This record gives sequence, structure tokens and C-alpha cells, in this order.
Amino acid sequence: MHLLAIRPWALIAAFLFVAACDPFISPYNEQAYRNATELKARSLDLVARSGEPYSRYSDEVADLALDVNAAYEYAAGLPDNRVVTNQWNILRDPDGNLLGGFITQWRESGTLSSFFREELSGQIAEGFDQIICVEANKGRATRCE
Amino acid sequence: MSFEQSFDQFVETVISGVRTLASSAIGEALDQAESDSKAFMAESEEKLRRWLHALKDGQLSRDEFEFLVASQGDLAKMHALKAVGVTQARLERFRTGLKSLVVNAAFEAFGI
Repeated sequence: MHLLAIRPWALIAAFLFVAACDPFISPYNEQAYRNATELKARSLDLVARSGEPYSRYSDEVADLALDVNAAYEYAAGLPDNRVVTNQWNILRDPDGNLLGGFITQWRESGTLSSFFREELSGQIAEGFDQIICVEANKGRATRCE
Repeated sequence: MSFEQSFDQFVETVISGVRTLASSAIGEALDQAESDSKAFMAESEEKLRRWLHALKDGQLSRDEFEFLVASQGDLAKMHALKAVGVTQARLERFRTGLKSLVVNAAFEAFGI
């Protein structure tokens, strides 16, 4: 009987405990969202040009890589933001197989074939979309297709 | 209204509010994660068929084919991270919603 009388208090105490916990994820950040959308557009533009010699675009590629690294550092500097930071790390990895790997391939091959760059463009776009989806969901529940 | 009655009303309001918050925050997150992973698997199969076809036709070299297959592996990691991030974002809304719910229910029940 005594325990039953305590239960509502215990329940409310548990709710208050949850409410007082550290945030699960960093709040929505306009700059972080903009970094992902702008860098997606610039990256896909360069993928579309990768049928041409790398040497013609080496400066633009270097600028893009620098800005992607800056976006990674920005994400890493936000509190409770490990998920997005890890996503940027996969996307930018020069030994990986998305944006960083694309840059490595283009630099080493000189030019990329038509079918390959079209498929790779879709893969890189999808990678950026995973970051954009998390950033958008920080603001409000969004179904990302 | 006695303190006991007010407290019962407070508990009832909080519990019914928590049910609504939990079903929208957590229930929908699980449904979304499940449907996203099914869609990803179906897309992976479709891409693999397309790339194999292109490899046979000579539109893709073996290295390019391997690169694309590995890129799908990288995307799988990014999808998994997205599922975690979206769930965390929903849990965060649940947490902040819970805080408001408890405070508002207390104000309402005790007439503060």
C-alpha cells in the first residue's frame, strides 16, 4: 500500500530525470545545414566535369576539399554532434569511395568515364542527403526520401 | 480541490501526455528506420544489377565497378548514422516536450 502511494512520485521523478538529461543531439544549426546543401551542389558540379582533365579543375577541387574539411571541423565543434561529424568523415575520406575517393580517382586517372561519373554522382548526392536529413530533423521531424 | 485530487489530475495529465509524446517521437522513428533500411536494401540490389550489366557491356572497368560497390558500403554506414541521428533528434524533442508537459500540468493542476 505504501509503495503504491509512492509510485506516482517515482514516475514523475523519473520524467523529471529524463527532462533534465543532457541533450541527445545538438540543436538545429542554419550554418551546418547550409554547409551541406552548398557543398553538395558544388561537388556534383565538379563530378559532372570529371570527364575533362583533372588538371583543368585542380584549383576548384582544392577549394572544394578545403571547404569540405572546414564543414567537418564546424560539425565537430558543435556539442553532441558525433553522428554528423562521422558522416562528414566518411564522405570526405580520400581513401574512401564517396567524395574524397572521387577526388583521388579523378586526380589519379586524369578523366573519368561517362557511366562511372553518372553513377558516382548519384552516390555522392545520396551521401550528402544523409547529412542533410539529420540536420533537417534537428529542426523538425522530416521524412527524407 | 484537495492536494490529493490536484496531484491525481497532475499525474493523469502527465501520463496521458507522455503516451502521445512517446508514440509520435519514438514509434514513428522506429517505423521510419525500418522502412528506410528496406528501401536501402532494395536500392542496393537494383544498383548492383545495373553495375553488373554495365561491367558486362564494357561501360565500367573492373576497378570502377569495385569502387561503386565499395561506395554502396560507405553509404550503408551513412544511412545507419542517419537512422541514429534522426532517432536522437526525435528523442530530443521528446525530452523537451516532457519538460514542458510536466511544468504545464503542474501549473494547470495546482493553479499556480
